Amino acid sequence: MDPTGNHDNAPLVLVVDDFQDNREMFAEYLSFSGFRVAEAATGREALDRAFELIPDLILMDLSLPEIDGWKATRLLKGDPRTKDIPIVALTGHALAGHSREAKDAGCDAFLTKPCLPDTLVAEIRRVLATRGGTSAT
Amino acid sequence: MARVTRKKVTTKRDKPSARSSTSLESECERLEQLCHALEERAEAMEVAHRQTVSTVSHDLCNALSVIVMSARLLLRTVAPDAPGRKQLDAILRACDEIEQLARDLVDANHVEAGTLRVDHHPQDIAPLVEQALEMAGPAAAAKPVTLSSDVAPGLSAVAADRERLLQVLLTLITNAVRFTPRGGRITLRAEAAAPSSGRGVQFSIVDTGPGIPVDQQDRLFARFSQSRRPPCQVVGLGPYVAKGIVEAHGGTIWVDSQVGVGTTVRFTMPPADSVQPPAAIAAAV
Repeated sequence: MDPTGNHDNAPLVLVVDDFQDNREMFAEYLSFSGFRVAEAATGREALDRAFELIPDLILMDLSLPEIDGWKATRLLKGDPRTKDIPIVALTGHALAGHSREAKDAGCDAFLTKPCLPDTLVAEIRRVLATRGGTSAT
Repeated sequence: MARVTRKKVTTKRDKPSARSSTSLESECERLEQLCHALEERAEAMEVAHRQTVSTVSHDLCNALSVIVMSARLLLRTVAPDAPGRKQLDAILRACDEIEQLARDLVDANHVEAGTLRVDHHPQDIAPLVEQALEMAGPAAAAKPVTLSSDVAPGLSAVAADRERLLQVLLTLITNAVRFTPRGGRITLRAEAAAPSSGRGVQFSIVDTGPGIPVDQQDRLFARFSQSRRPPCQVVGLGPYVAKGIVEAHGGTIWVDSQVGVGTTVRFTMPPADSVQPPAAIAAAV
């Protein structure tokens, strides 16, 4: 059994969000959509899980305790082990400035909450396809 | 803050009326320092207020995310005519309203502070109009009102922030849908701007709603006023934000309305050839 509790070879998505209900909802829906899923509740935990699991994609909330999402993204993109993992920012901040800051930090895409379930999955599939990765169906 | 001001001023009034020039100078200096301190405090409070609005908006969207995601997932298991479906649809509509208000609050703060930033990239008109109609289509169909477009042939591109321009169009169309009775018509028109409005494109959102009395028209774009508000309608910040976005592009926005006939909101966008060359943009950033 792999660390996520799943058995197949579908892409592994690390869902990072300190809002438990959100995190669990995203994780559940992504799992339902065919992805393997791991979770982290803080920026520090996101780094630990990312280095441990090397996921195919990270769904990153930006306002996080301990280490915020922008800094966590910079650290992941600056580390040779994780620099190629696509990171999709998902935040309640909707301003263009936040989108720019997220992209400056190294995020590959930006989604705002509330996000429709299908939009979330479509964006994850799009980013994975851009990176030449496999996509859950 | 007001209490502090009153306390200090009272102290000043208690001073003896006959003063030497030295004591007057000293008093002036003290008052200047007081003014400076109060200005600094007011600025700090304004920053704190903006930060609070931003945080509240963020936290609202976080909580809304759970509601929207849950409702959308439930929607898949509840047939259109099944018990509970009507309530689910109502929950999602209310979520849309709250989300829009949360975003408008943050935008309105930036408009007020003069910190709203927009990009200026060439944008073709026809695809923009098409997308705006597509986005507003469900709200118009739900009312129902007829939504159509009228784009003059051969229009040149405008210099605009695509997402922000779409936000303006969607806000104005949604507002028109809100105030136009069932069976009414809303037309999104795009044509060359009149020479007096500068080159570029003029957009018009024409509705067959009840119209706005002349003495209320200048309140349409005010921050805390909704001149067209019928009973039980939510008050929106949308038109205020739309005005801020248009003006941040260098355009102008105004309203023509006749009671019993309808309302037309017009705004202009500058031409694409007014875009700064890339080097100048990079230097400005």
